[in-house]
Amino acid sequence: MNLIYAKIVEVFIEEDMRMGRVQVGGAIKKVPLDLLTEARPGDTVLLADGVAISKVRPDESP
Amino acid sequence: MKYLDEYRSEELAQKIVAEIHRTVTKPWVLMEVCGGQTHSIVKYGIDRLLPQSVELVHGPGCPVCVTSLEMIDKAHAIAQRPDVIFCSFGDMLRVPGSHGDLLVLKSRGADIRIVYSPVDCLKIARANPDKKVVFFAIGFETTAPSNAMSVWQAKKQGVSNFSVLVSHVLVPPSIASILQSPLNRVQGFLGPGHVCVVMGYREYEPLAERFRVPIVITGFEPIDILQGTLMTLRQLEAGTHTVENQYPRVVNRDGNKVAQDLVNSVFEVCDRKWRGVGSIPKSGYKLRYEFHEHDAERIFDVREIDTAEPAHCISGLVLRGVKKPHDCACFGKVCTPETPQGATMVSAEGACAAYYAYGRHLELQKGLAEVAHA
Repeated sequence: MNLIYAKIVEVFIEEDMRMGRVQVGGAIKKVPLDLLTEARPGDTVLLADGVAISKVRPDESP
Repeated sequence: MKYLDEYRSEELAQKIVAEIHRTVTKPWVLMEVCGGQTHSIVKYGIDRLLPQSVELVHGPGCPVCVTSLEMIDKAHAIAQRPDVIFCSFGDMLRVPGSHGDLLVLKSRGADIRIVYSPVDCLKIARANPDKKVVFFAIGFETTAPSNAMSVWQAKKQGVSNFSVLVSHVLVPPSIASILQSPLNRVQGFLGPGHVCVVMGYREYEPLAERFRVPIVITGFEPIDILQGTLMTLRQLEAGTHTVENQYPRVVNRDGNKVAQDLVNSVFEVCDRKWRGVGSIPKSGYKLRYEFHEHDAERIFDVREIDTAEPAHCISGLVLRGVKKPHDCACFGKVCTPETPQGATMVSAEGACAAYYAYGRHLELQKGLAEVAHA
């Protein structure tokens, strides 16, 4: 299973799906954003198995 | 890295550990549900920072570990077919079935591919129209949205040569099963952070109330786990039993409703057998009938499989928090990550594999040697 934080750099539509190009470390990857209706470029999201499942709330710190 | 480094602060960890020591007045047994949490606890030695009266036992939340032997054997039967491209997450390839693992089959020529996401399998299916592309869809609620998305898209786009072998499991029924067992020792839970990203934590509230146990939804970094432990211990010491959220940066009470709707449209709840544990009612997902043309079990008719599990393995007791890895006579000897004998050694997230990876088998051997010399 793969769970990782990523930063959205671009949002676009492909084959009726809301997709995003996200930055993971130094890599750029294309992932579905269909499950996050409000995610925008600049947001950090949690990816589970290549699909964004949650936007990270930046105001929460330890 | 943002969202990681601040949750690995040594200074903050020391403050929380000191607060835990001030809080605890009695012995307590806590279970961390997720394999990822177990891995962090052993990697960072978190259990050894706690008062001796606080014991962390390791839960069933390693999806690779709990995938039943029958399902592994079905995967092997399908993967061996010459007309199949079998796709899986990498950590499933070494999991032993009754007769070897997927890596062995791959070395014998089976077309077995590691994918990063089930959605990637659709591309493979389109590029190979003369083959049947099968994805091994295992996991907890966290993985269900990506698996559901792959099936939904396949149906929508008419990718008829794509199917999934589904072996999904659900966390709340497994917690109920642990708490109902006469062997249960667990008094509080560090709840499954990433599962609750998808599902929220409403469904844990009746569990906390019914069994009178505190459940703190907890993240995976060292600070997360220490905070979750402190919050659970505070409840135990105060005699309360509510659900709290330590992981609000990605978890809220309702979860991701868009993801839940997708999962519920593709899957329905079913009874599921867990490796090392047995069958738990209503503890899994299966495909809904509307998606049966993408159901690998139906397509390949692999419903009856005879399995053979090593009799000496205690992984079922480890998964329920009754035993620890070093309680097993095989641990670190005949059972290693290279030669796993059972569920909890097969994946890096399994408790036995985590203990082995961070050298606790060596400590055990050293301890025995010291006893012998005394």
